Amino acid sequence: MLILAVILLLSPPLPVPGGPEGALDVFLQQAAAGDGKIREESLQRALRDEEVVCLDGGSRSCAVRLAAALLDPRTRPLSRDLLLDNMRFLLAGALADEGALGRAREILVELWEREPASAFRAPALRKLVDLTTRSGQFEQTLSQIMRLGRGLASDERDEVAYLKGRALMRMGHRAEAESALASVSRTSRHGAAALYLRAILALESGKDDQAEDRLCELVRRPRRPGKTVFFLSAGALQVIEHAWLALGSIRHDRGEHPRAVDAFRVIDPDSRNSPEALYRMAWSLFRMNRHRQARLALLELFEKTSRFPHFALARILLGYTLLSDCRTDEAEPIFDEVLRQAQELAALGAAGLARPDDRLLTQVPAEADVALAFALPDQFRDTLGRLQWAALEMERLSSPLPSRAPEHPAERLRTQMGDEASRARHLRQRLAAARAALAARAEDPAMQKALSEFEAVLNEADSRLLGAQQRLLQAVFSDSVDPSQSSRPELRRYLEAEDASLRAAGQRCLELWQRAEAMAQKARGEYARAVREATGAWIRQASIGRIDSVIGRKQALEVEIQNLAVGRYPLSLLRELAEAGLIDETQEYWPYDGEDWPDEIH
Amino acid sequence: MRLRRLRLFVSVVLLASAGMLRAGPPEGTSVAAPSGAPPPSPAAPALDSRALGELALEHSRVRDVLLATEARLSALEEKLFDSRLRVRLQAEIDRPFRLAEVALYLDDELAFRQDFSGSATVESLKLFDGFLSPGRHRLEVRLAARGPNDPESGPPGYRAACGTVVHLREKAVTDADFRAEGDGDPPDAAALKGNEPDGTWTVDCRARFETSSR
Repeated sequence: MLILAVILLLSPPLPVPGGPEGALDVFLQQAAAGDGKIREESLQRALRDEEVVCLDGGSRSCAVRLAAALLDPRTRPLSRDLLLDNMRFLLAGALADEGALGRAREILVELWEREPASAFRAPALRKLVDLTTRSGQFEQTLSQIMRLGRGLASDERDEVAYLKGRALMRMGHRAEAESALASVSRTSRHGAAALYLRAILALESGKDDQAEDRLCELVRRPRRPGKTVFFLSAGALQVIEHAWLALGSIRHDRGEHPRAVDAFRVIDPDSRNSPEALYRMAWSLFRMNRHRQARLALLELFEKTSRFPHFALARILLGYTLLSDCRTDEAEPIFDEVLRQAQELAALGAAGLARPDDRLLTQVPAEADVALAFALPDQFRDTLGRLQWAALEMERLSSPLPSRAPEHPAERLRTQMGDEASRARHLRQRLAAARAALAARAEDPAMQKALSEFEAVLNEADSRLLGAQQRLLQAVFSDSVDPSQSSRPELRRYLEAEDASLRAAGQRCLELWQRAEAMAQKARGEYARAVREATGAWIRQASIGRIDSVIGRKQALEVEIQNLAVGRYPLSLLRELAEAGLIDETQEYWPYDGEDWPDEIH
Repeated sequence: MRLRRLRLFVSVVLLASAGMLRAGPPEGTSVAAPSGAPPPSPAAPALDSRALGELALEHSRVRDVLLATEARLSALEEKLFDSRLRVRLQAEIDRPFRLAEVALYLDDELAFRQDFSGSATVESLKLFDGFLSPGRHRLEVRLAARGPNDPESGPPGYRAACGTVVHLREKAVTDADFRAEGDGDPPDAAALKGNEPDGTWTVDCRARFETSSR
């Protein structure tokens, strides 16, 4: 008996079923035993408080408070209560905003499939569809939706069909996607988007007429006197504008330029699609040889924004509208400017910045995958920081003096490393700016070499710093708390289980961060290639424009010389000669009389 | 005449290669190394979309664990200490500046972030409401605004931050209030075209907190 007691005392505590949640539940049940039933007012107050935070954008606070309120064992008997469902619905939205998509999905699926139906059944499905299309996690959501046993209502069928269509489109199954999207009703909130996507699918399959029919169906508004048109979602107007842009482009490609201009003109001047519409309209007008109007459209575009993805091409087009009107002297500086800016952007793109320069990203937008790869390391860093914060709170809970903030030598080191990383980023930006400034000047091999050497040193320092930061975090997440010091011995099991879960998540996050950094490195390579291609094309086109300007000027001169040779004087020259033939106001004409005055001009 | 024809032919070939004679807006198709730029680095391995999607999925799983942990800690801290922190912000930024972003950092970690467009004033924004361990916690509010000539697509350029330390007590609510007033005279479009643009940006930020026992 004594031996058994010794073994039990020395052996580590058995893991609690349900992990940290199970362990906490035991504690909360004990704590709630004397509190009696939960009052509806206290739940309402919690919901009201958190609704304000949620609506103000405080998703972290909202998610944590609501999830904590739902952990209270006293809420369990009320599991199907309307108030609790409201809290769950709000919690799912906040969790999704915080990136905890798995848990958000679980809550929404539970609200949606529950029988008898929850009051939040329809909103839950709509929110689920929205968060899935935003995150791209189609497989995870559809696998849960497909296991539903009951039949779907018509609105639900539309939601699920739209989701399937998007998923199939992403996977490249065009025919199946078309069929899924075709089953979305026009009266659904996704009706406009589904029709637009079907038009895109038709375009991708080379069925231009079919695509045009669908786009026309989308932009056609029923005109009935005394009737009001309602748009079923905020995005419907946006989709309709995109449809006009697509229609205009189809007509432009067919050579129906006047009709293309008509389509582009529909876009509201205050819309965010207006710069794109003006740019495309300028091209159609250029093809119609209406150079002045094309120029006016481009000038309106430049007045609106200088940050536009086709900015360089729009400037080149402006140069060509001037060239077409024989205004070579005005066109040449525009081509020179594009050439200089493209060279600068090319140098910025080649600099390999951790986060590309904002000016560069506007001119050469990153592909969706590349943009995600750029964003992921920061997201992991943010999550690691929050995990560390939770570990510090755990440490406080485990210490005999929870109000005393724990001090760590590693904290100061972490701050210093963060500062060093920030300095390195700044240095890299300055090097990139120096490269951009050098790009527009004459070749300077010595300077280029010096910059390359600086960059090599910086690359080495960056890689060592990143390694050191990762080793430091590794150490932080390897270090367990000691719950035996806690002033609350009854919490020991929970603290141990939570600590193990937190450290496992920390290690996993660290490993994922390393993978994300490697992905970002690849993305930088891809983006640099995209920048090289785009700026290379601009440089070539601007150079040709410049050559055209010079040739145009020379041709004008040649025509003038030829005219002179055959005795035809161009108007400009006649004007010059007429002016040259006039005597100055300070002079006087006097017939020659052989007196040879000193100020006489012969 | 022959020379002119040759020149015309060369021009047409060059224009066609640059995409200027195509029936639509030109696309970046040519690859020419810009002069002055360093030689292109060896081709990096292509980005694997599937692996990237899996990484994003894994990240959301870690966030699931993180949020669940934070919720459990909050529930426990409510039961054990009942020390609650509420943070509010009131911000008034004079025109022509526009408020673009508000963020709250709690113990150096992001606790709130909201983007704004067009508005200059925040009457009262609830940045945080939750239970924490008693004792010292650091709060920092960061504001960002745009001037009249700042592009919407880039990050806002006018920034200000102010922080305070709060001392939470058991069975008490601590209310921290931040009040920021921004003012200034940014350079206008005419000044930006000149060689000597100048401007000012002044933010008066005050933080106060009070604790009331429950």
